[in-house]
Amino acid sequence: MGEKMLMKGNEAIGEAAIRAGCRYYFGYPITPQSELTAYMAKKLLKMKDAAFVQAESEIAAINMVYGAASTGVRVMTSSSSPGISLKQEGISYITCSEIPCVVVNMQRGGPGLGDIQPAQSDYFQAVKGGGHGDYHLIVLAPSSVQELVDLTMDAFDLADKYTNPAMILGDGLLGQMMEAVEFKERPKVELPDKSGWNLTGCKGREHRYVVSFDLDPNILEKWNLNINEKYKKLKEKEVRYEAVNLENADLVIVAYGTVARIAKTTIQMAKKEGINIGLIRPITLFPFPEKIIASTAVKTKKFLTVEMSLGQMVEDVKLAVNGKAEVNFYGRAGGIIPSPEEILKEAKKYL
Amino acid sequence: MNNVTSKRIKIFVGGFGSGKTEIAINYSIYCRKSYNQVAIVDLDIVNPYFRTREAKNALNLKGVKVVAPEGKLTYADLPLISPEIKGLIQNLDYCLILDVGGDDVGTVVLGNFKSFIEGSDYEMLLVVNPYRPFTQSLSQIKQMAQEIENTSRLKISGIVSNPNLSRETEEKIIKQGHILIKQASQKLNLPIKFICIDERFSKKIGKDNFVEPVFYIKRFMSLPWE
Repeated sequence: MGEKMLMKGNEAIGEAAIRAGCRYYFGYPITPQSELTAYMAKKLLKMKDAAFVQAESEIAAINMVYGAASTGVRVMTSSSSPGISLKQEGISYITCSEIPCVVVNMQRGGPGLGDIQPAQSDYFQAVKGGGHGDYHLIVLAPSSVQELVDLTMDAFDLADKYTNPAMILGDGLLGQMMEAVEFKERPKVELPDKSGWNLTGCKGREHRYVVSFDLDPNILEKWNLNINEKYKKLKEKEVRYEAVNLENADLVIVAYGTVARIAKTTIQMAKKEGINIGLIRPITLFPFPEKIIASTAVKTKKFLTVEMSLGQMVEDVKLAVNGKAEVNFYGRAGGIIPSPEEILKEAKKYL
Repeated sequence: MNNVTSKRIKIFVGGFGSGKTEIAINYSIYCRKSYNQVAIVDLDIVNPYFRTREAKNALNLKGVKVVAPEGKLTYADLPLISPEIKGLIQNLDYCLILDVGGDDVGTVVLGNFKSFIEGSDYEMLLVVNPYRPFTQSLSQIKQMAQEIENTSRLKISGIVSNPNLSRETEEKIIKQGHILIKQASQKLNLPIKFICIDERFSKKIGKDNFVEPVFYIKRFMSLPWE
């Protein structure tokens, strides 16, 4: 058929990963992201030089990712909230080993086993490290099925470029909804050569290690500092956001993913009532778009952060605003999606 | 569309995301014109969101009975089968629409009812959207049909053509997509029962554009920002 396809978010991530050269997937099914695992099984099992394993657990899956990533191949795993919690130890090891991989979290209601409805309550876990140790993931937050495609492809490039795991932070709604998508030709990006560190079987050359361990604290501190340098670079070079209607806004909403999309409808509704609402939608959650928020806070004195959580990203908004403007918060939890009307009603409280 | 309501039991099967639920919902409302008692059964055991049960209130208002997991279980993704279904299959007063889950895995549940369905006045329709992954070519559509028949142990009796890109559908998309469905119909030796078109095209794309009956459908599953 033609160029465009109608895809579920979860399937779209799978197809995007394969087109980005990912031939290795290890995972364990969980609602509401199982279609991604199923898609990878259907496709990869028929491909040459590819592997799909439904692991015995999420812990096993992330360690298979660790192994595959050590050889320099493009590899992915995915899960939803409780499953991502189980993967944290492995993610921390992979980050310390400074090797690339992509992890997808299609969030659901928590804490604990929670429910199977969409949520954004894993923000802290995603952007503040998640496992033990001083580290960050590169965190991308799509808000449409097309963006799931584009950002999944970008995630592989960014992970390779910074030899650091990248995470797609979506939610159950983005995973389950269907939209038309296009797989466009992408410009070639220069990426670092992996041949200096990847494990290929030493065959006469000096042997290599991919480890996340050093008993000498002096060496381990340097190691940490090196990793931290990458985060500084990420903050300088890789910040992405979408700004809508910021000129003369009476109030600016900060929201990502599904909620940002709802907020766009709120903005249209407000316009009809003569209220000017703006939107800053972080596309990278780490690195966080601090500068645009800080510069907006000089002009607009009122912010409203909206999340499908009880207040997580709002802390980063407050840090970026740094006391220069009023930062309010509205959130729904447990898998409830706020309506555009509800957000407008909340915004009006501050106008 | 007269030929369309002839069978008392309609089973909609097809690939994952082929449009079965929206079609089954619209179809059950349409059947109310010819039948006093119409029931729709949500047999989706694989999808966690966008299921028939979400349109329950709208359907009840139109006089259509909805059989789906209730209460707390509304939000579960468990293989829950109501004991009421077997009764409805055998109740000759009811026109019954079965909305089955996607792919062969979603169809597993039908095996449970095989012995009851076989003896009834039924037809099983394969919904195909040629813009979905895994039903984009003749060989893929054939494979999908075979897998569904093998798992359900029932025979497909016709095809429902549903070429669309959801909100990005255009006239050209419908017409081009339908060509492949016509080829599939010939290859599989199955008649096209009807073609589904979003009601927003009802003026632009008249029924005379197609040899097959045209069924204009209204969207029931919407997104939170719509």
